[in-house]
Amino acid sequence: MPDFLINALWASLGVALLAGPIGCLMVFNRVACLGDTLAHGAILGLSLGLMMHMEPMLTLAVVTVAWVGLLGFLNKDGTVSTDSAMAFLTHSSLAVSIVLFTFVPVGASNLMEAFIGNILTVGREDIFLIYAMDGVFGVILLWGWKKWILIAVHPDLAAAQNMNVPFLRMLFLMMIGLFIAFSIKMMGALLVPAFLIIPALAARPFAKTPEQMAFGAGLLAILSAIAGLFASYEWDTPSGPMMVCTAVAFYGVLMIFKQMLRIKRLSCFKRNQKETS
Amino acid sequence: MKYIDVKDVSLTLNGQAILSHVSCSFDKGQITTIIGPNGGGKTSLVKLILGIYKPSSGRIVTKKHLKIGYMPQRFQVDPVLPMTVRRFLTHPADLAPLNADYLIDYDMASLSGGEMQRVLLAYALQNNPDVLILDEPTGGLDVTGEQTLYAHVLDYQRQTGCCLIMVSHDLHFVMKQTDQVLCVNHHICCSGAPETVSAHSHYQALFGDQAPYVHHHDHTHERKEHA
Repeated sequence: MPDFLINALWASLGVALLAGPIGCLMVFNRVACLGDTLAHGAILGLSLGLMMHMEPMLTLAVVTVAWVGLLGFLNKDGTVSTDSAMAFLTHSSLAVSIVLFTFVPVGASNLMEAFIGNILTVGREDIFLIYAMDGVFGVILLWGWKKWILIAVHPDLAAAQNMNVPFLRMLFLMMIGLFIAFSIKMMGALLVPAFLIIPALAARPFAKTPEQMAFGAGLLAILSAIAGLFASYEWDTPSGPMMVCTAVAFYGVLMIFKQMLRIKRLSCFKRNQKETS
Repeated sequence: MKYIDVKDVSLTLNGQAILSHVSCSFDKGQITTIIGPNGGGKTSLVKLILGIYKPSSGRIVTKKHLKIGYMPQRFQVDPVLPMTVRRFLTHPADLAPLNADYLIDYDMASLSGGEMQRVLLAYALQNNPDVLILDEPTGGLDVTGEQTLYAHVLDYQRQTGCCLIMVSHDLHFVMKQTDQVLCVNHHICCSGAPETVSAHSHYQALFGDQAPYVHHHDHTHERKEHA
């Protein structure tokens, strides 16, 4: 296997490792579209960084985290709903960043790479960064998982147990923001959110508990990353979109499987009814 | 020291005055019922006691290391969240006294209103709380379910001597079993033992027609006088 492919494999596994559980939490808390908002904020951060000749990773992370704060501010009194606030931030950051990219030399290719990523240019430092993030976020997830699940059941139940719900929510949103910021180089801003949400949705019909769903989603994300990467190498297609396509394919197959199970159970039920009557 | 002391507390949410100058206290062994019209601030008072809301002015002093069990107003679990009753409860055995052990492998999102209430009560009771706070616990229950639930709550209260705080519209229960009634309508319009409150003009104005006639022969305060 060529070196760049091994690097790409490690990087995509690093991203996939936490995509399952984080994606599940996003689905549970009904902020599935938040990924898009923060990813577009990240593109704005990237364009600002390139324009002002600053380290793009830094400006990208700053804008993403700032967007989390801004989102909280926009729907503070509840008159602007979360989804409207998310839409506002998504569209405005997209428009502004496309305009800004025209001032950046070779802006168009930069913009394309920001949207769909390029896992094949990933270096050792990037891989180190991703696994460092996995370590930190893994610990935070283990610590906060039950708390976030209880908040998803009913925030008041969590608050009555002395949990600081606004802080926990903010921490969770920050984590999504930074996860997206660090994953953009591998998968691109348009695709990281998909990679968070699709495995979680595919695992839902087979899960009885949130833990089962997170485990299933994590497994699907890892499989999609590996299979997608090799498929993209084989057919010479872009790797980020290929991984998302693989996740979508898994989703489709699992849905069909679920439907078949249901039909089979139904026909068994009918047969039993006939025999008893 | 009392378990919970609410001292001259006011609450403003989004510029709206919800509660003003509320003072009350709750102690071990005491059963309190909070009554009042819709939108009068009953649930807000409960949330202040729980620390979910912070008072805009005044303060709430709570005894240290109190275990609090809380049953919020009826709600639905979002079906996007896979959650069985077994996973939700730490001690699923708590369902048995509520005739709800058959619910153990049900999905939370599929529970009916009454089933949900019983699961939530089991949840509130699971750490043997010193203070049990129930917000409209019988919403969605039929008469039998209501009686089973009240009986179970009172049993627990009698056995443990916990402090029980309930938001309720059930005036019949209120008058029969309660030590303290708080009638809340943005402020405490009247409070005290049930017989005092039911004679109060504010109470009459709020509940006049539906207030049941209650004969006080089984009330603890009277029993004490006879003893």
